[in-house]
Amino acid sequence: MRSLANAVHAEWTKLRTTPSTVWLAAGSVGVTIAVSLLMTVALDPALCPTEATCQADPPTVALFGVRIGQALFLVLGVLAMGNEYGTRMIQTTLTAVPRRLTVVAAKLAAVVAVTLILAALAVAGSWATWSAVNGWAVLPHSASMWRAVAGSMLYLVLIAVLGLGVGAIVRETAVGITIVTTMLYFAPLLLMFVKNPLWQLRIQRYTPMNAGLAVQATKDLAAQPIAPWLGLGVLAAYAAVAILLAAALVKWRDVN
Amino acid sequence: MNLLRAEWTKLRSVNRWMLTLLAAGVLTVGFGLVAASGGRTEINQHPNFIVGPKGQPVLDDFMFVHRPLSGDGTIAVRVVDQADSHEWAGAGVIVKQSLTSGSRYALVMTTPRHGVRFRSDFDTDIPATAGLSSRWLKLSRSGGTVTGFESADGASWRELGRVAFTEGTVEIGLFVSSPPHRVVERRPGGATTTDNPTVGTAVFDNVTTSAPGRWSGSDVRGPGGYEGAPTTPGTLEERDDVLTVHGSGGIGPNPPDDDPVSAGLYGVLMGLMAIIAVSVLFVTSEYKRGMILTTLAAHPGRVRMLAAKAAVAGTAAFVVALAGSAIAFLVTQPLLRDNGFRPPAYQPLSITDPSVLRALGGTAVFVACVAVFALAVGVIMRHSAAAITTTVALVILPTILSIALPPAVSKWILQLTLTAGFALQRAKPPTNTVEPWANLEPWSALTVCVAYAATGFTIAAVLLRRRDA
Repeated sequence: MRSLANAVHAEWTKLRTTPSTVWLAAGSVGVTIAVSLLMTVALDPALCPTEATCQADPPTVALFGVRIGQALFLVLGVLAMGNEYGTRMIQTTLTAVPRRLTVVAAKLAAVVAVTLILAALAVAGSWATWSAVNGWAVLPHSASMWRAVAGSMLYLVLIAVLGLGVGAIVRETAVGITIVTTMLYFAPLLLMFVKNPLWQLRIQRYTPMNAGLAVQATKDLAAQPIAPWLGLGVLAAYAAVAILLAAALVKWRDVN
Repeated sequence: MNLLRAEWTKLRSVNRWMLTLLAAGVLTVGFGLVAASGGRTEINQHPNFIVGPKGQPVLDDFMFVHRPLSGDGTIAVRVVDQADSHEWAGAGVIVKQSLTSGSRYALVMTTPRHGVRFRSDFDTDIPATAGLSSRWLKLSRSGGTVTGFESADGASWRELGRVAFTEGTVEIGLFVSSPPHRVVERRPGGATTTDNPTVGTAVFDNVTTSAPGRWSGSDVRGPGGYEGAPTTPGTLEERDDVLTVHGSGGIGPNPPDDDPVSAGLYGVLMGLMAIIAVSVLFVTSEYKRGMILTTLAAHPGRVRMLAAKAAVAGTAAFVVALAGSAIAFLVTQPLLRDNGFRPPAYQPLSITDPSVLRALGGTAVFVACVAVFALAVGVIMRHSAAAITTTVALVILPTILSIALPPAVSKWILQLTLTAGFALQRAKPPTNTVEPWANLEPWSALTVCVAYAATGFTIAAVLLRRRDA
């Protein structure tokens, strides 16, 4: 247990002192809030005069920045592992902590801790922006809106974990970022064209971004393609598979 | 030349990069197939159009003030006034095969904002001079030909064009049309399209025709109206040889906005991601491995070296994208046809059609520009993760934004980002009703792409010269 604590501390130091982390931290929070603000302002006020009569689903607008800001969360995740291989730091890391699964667990813990804080800032900031613009109470006051807000935070953390896993699998930041970005963004664009109801349902249920963001829904839940927590569960499954495969590969593969 | 060869060798000899470029082609085709399998349209089962003389979907709704004409004849008129009810509202003279919507026609009309046009059979459109408030228009039928004229004074006539027309008895007269005003709203959760009918008004005098009989007014109407939009019945007032006519609807080609060509090119987005990665790594890996020192020692002309690198990366991307999208087009079209994209709503497309060639070539240019831009960002940032993220952010993220924003805002965002390039994938004219990036003109999309590549290259060249390697 002691060794795990030390390993987590080491990972935290590495993450904290990498110059890109500072940029990503500021960028992920800033971009998320800025895009949420843009969407909030762009929404026609006639559509959402009061909370009770709002035609749009408020969290999908208020937290829209999550869709864009997630790109930086995934980069943070990929870099956490990709940088180790890019700089050959991994050799030093594994010399210091020979138990490889401990290294992966420590990395996971550090990334989750850091992104949880960033996600909380980004999502809470977005929601506060929406509340301020629309004159709503600052705190969400229904269970479903709490779910949307908390779920969006978890969503961003899971995206970073997915990035971490893929980064460890491909061992190259460039490749990892490209793969995860494509995984996330292809499906929503495909939905612009795909009109076959069966395919639409498949895309909305089983692709990481569309399924995961189901957690933001608060209205017409019966008509949604997938239940909110279940959708986030689909994303969690993607992240879990990636991180488990990464752990297995880190354990069994040669370092180079 | 040596520089180009050196850079090409560097690209070629890294197996992973060549494999990634190959993968980019495969992704372009593969995901094009995925998108095409999921595509579906039922427009032929529930048509909102009528079929024109050549089997194409057309719109043919207008107020017709007509009398029969057998054999040769002419009609001439002065359009005294036309209301600006819609930029493409029409008022003028027409010969029409019959009163049935979709039958053949030839017309000369004035429009509020696009001058005088000579048109026929839903595919010929010849513009004349613009800008005069009073217009004389004339049509003359002789044998199997109809000729259109315009004049500023009713005395000297200028020929606009001549087209083949049907023989036998036809209807000749005046017409007024005014297409509905289309409003598209887009917000998080979907888009809605509303067509608000407009009514055109025109005042005619000096009507002279060789056809005998009296004027009668009737609406020519397709079964669905303008894409199902309600239209207002037309009216005719005749007083002292001055005719005042109200009418609504439009006359012209009316293809659905969905574009099977761009539908088959969805995979380009996937291939593009791989090409961005290779283009960035093509230069950042030189920095990472210190290879850049060797490169610059061998070729001290830094800007020329960068130009060679950009030429190699751009050409490789162009070739991969062109081959990938051409194959994607060929394999997706049969699939799309099975999914409902077939005549009459969707005319069969051949890879040699000019619009298809333009879409495929434009797509390849877009991908090449993105490759050059990615390379430049790699030089500027000298960090592969940062460069890839930046380039991807400028290509992909605006698409997600534009889906949820009103068309005017999204058009503005698209014109500022590389996402504009996706507009080049369309073979059909721009529209607001489908994918948001479909609302840019191809040439303005091309300008944005080239501007990004050129600006990126210039900044990279300046920094490369100034900075220590």
